[in-house]
Amino acid sequence: MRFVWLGLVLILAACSKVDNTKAIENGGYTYDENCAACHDRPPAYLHTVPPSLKGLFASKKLTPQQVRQIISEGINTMPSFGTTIKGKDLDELMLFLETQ
Amino acid sequence: MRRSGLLVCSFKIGLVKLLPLLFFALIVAGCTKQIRHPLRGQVLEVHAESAQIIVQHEEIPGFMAAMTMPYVVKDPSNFPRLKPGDLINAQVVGSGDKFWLESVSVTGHAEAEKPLREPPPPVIKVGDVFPDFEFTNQDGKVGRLSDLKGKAVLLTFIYTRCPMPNFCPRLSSAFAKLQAKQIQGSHFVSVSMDPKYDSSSVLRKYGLAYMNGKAEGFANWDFVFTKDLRKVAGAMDLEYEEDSGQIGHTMVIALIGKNGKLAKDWGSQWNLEELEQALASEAAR
Repeated sequence: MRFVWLGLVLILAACSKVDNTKAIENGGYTYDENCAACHDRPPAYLHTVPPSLKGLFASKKLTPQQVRQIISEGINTMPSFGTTIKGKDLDELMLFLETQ
Repeated sequence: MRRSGLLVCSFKIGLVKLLPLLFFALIVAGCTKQIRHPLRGQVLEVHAESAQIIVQHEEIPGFMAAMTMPYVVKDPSNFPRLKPGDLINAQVVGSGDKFWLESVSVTGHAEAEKPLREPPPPVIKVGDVFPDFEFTNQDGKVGRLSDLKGKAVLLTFIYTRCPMPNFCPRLSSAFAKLQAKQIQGSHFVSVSMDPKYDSSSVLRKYGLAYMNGKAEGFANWDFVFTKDLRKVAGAMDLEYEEDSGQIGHTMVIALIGKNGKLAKDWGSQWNLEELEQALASEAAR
């Protein structure tokens, strides 16, 4: 009987896990369109070289809240993306960045 | 009787011969099928000589977004009665790539919401006086381009939210490198193409990023917005257009001599050495 309960709990846990695959994919498109030009292939002529965003979340240098703020408001020579990446797009981009 | 028989006969022969032609005509008619959509809008300009009116119209669902554009009016008898400001209902009729208006009826009259289109500002060339304009800079200080007379001014157009590294960030990075050369008698002006967003404080923050946080740099580099943007941008034939929160634009750098005249200008083709040489030579005059 104990195993039946355990099985039920595991099934429920599996069912309740949100499938983010599509959202991460969308976030990847947003990244390619808006971030990659500077963060993946920084042109040499830029005043400051933008950092790579690989391992951004793993490094824990910034909290997710800080990352959101930087995307929305910009920082240093990075422009503000507050009017173009917001709401669902920003959420999906954050999910994508977490996978990097 | 005989005569009508002959007619029927010739019709039959004609029909057989004409069938391929009819078939072809049907295909052509199908390809150039007319479309019709109701239009509601306001006449902004009337150009009877070219049978055109410029209409600011509402969205035409499933066909066209709300916009202001010229239309040919099919029936020229409409022209004596159509006036700028008239509110109209009409049918947009299209065939192939041609569109025109039919069944134009005037439903009222109102002051045009937008001012009538002004003629585009004149484009200047090297040797012409650069149009003077009033601006507000990153410190909220109001100034004029003519205040910089006696200096060699390198002027360009940017907007702080520009995400394209090879456009505004490249221009601002180049200006930062040139400013670091400390060319005596040189001054830099970055004019915002986004005055709605780029307030003095936004421009100040943006500028500081290109001056490594040193506000002394503003002594010979102004980041400005101006209500005369159309005139100044037009003088340099710069194109800019807001689209989905971003601004699509071309690239222009102008070198204004100590006498206030355009000494040299560049589009998207320029390099740092060329700019430095031209600026130094103009500043040394």
